[in-house]
Amino acid sequence: MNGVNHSRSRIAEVRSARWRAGRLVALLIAVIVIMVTAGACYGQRAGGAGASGEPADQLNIGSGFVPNSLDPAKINAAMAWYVNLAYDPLIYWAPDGKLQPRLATSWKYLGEGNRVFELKLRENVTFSDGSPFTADVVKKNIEYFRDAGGESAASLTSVEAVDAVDRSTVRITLSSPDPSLPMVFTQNRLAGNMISGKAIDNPGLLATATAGAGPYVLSEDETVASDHYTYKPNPSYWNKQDVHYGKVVIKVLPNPNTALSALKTGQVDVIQGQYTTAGAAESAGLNVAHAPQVFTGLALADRAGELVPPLADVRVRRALNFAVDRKKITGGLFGEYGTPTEQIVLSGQDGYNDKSFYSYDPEQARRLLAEAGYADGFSLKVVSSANTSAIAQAIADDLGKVGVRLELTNHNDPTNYLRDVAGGEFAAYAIGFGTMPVHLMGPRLFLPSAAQFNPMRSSDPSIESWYRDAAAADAKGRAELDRRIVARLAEEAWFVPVSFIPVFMYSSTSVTGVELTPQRPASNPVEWRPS
Amino acid sequence: MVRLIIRRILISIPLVVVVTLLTFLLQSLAPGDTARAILGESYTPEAHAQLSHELGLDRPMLVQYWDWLTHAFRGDLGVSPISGIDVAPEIANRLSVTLSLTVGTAILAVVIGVGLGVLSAVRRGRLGRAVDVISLVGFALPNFWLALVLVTVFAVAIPVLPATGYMPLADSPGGWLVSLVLPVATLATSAVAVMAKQTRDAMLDVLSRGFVHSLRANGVSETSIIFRHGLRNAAIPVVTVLGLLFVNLASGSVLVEAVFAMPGLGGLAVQASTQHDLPTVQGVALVFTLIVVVVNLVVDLAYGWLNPKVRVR
Repeated sequence: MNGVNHSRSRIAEVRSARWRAGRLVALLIAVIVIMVTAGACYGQRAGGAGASGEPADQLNIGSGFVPNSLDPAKINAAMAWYVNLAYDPLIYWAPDGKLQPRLATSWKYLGEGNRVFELKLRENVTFSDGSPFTADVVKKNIEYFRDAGGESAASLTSVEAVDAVDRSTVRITLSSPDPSLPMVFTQNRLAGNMISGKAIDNPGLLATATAGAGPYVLSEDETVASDHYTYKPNPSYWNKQDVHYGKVVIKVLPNPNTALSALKTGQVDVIQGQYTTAGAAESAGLNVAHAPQVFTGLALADRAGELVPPLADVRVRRALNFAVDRKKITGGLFGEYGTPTEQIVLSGQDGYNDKSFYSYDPEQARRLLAEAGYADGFSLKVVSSANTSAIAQAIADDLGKVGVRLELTNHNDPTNYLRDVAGGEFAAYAIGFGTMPVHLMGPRLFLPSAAQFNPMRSSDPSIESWYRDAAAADAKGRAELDRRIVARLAEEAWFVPVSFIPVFMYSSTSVTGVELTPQRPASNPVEWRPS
Repeated sequence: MVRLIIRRILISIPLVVVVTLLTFLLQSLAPGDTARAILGESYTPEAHAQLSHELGLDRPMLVQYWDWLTHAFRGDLGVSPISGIDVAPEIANRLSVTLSLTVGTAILAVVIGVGLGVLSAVRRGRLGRAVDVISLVGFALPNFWLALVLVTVFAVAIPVLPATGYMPLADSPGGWLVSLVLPVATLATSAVAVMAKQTRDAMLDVLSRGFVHSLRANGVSETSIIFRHGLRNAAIPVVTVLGLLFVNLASGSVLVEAVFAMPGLGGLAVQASTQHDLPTVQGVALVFTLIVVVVNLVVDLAYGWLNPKVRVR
């Protein structure tokens, strides 16, 4: 009898356990259904403008960068979107490369020699904090940008005096000729992005807030630093027809695959792309815009041969240029998106020479090395970054075939890469340098004052003389002198340029105006509109 | 209990000092510095010297550390020299993301992992082997890869969940829950495997002991034997593993945060380290140390609840 009772209780226990298990499974299924349903609703809400139910007046942008600051005088140029939305520049750099009036209605150099520059300012403009835009504020801005130590400061070192001639006229006097001020005062060169005078008096605020005269203003309540930045229309904007959205959100998406997924699913409408994902973006039916922008290759920093004596001989530096198969490397690394180059500027650009300097000729390279007394080759220490490690390796393979051995050190951390480039312990470094007018390149790349990218202070009297003359020349004279400078750099083989690699922008079909051109390889979110 | 808590808090003070001092020294000894990171391509030796002076980086290291420590004890973690943002609120914002991920994953690991472990220990046979296989697979799958697969399937191919992003709980509880599904599922895969394996082994050990046979002989129901006696005795090693798992999740979710573009503490730590943003690195190290202290305290309290003998010690 006891045995029968025990069996019954076991059966009841098993049934009870099964019933509980069934209840648990049902509960789990219910939770999954609720989450998937909620997810579907969320997915619809998070969709891009017009793509999946999102109000058409919201633009969602994916940015690969966390801004180092929101202060236009301190932010890196690669992160210009964060200030483009809130700050109008003095001069607008249009997609066709032309400079157009914005907060300045006209500008010109006075007299000869590019030493005095005058701007006429737009009247009746107010900043988002309500303060007026005047010549005094422009003077304050230029002095602030010059002294703040940001990227644009290097372009303003020759500014000796800024005078507010009247309420709408500013005159800048330079200590040395500088023909590039119109470009320096555009949105992408940053120094033209005008900040309210009140904010400059308290610049700490600019790290987390905006105070510009642009179409939008940062909504601090809807912004989470390093995650997303929300902009709302600036109610006091002078040019309301340029406000295309009720809200613009920049979402930080550092991982390129994550950014592409977010674009495909409609969470964002525009992202920066890169050549590794360009094919996938095109396959997904997204709009892919690209334009060549960055010259990449080797910079032979030790041109005097202090670390590696063979580099003092121009025949050796030329041999390295002959030994590199630019077409093969460019095709292999960047496919259809890369452009082989023997010069540091692009065809059609300021300073370009319409001739070939170095065809691929390893035999000629070997001959030049033998003539210089290095028939057995030599070793060369090269430092590269995450962005240039692949091209450094490809160049190393080609140079190895003529006996020149590259000893590569790679830093994924850009700070360490820049430290080693400027440190003077590497005879060469792999370079990726965004193209710009020759006059702006000088103090950053090839003049003795270029502390970062000319670490051994290489100098060439011809280049320096032409550079000075070009600074004071008119446009025609400057074009000829710029061509000579670029040709001299190629003939003296200070660099081993290999490819121009493009910048990419991907956008959904809900947005138009996302353009990149060789004349302006940077797109500005204030130009983007609902399609 | 109160004495235990007070003792733990007192012990944690030198721990915090040692960890943050080590972090400070290691970060200071790493190549590069804050002024170099801020200047970037605008570097000149003169600008570097001036900025280093303005930021106080030319002072002796221990003076800089003491300055940070005294401010930190007053609740002031300083301002990031890179972004100009206050470190304390920045960390608070990101802590909520990391805790959402960590707590969510820990809950799933306990519910599913312990459940699977108990089930396989009780049923054994095929189910037991299946749990072993699932644990192995869970261990073997790289989080980063799994996250990309989940995004491709559940956000791109079948668009039912968001591919990226985090919705704060205060903004939308539903959105918050949904934004956590894929990242938590990614992290939980290995966490569930760990918990299932640990629970199964502990339960098998306990169920084979003599007192369990005595309980059965005395007619105690199987449910009571499993849950009241077996699981409670097996829980101590499981709680230990859970504590370690929680700490690992809090500090190791950086890849998952990156894939899902979630603004968590891990991402902040990586970003601050690469930018040589010392106040932020120090703040994150402080918070991670406090998380370890709190988790260890909770684990100790759980020991006491599960095994009264521990309370006496």
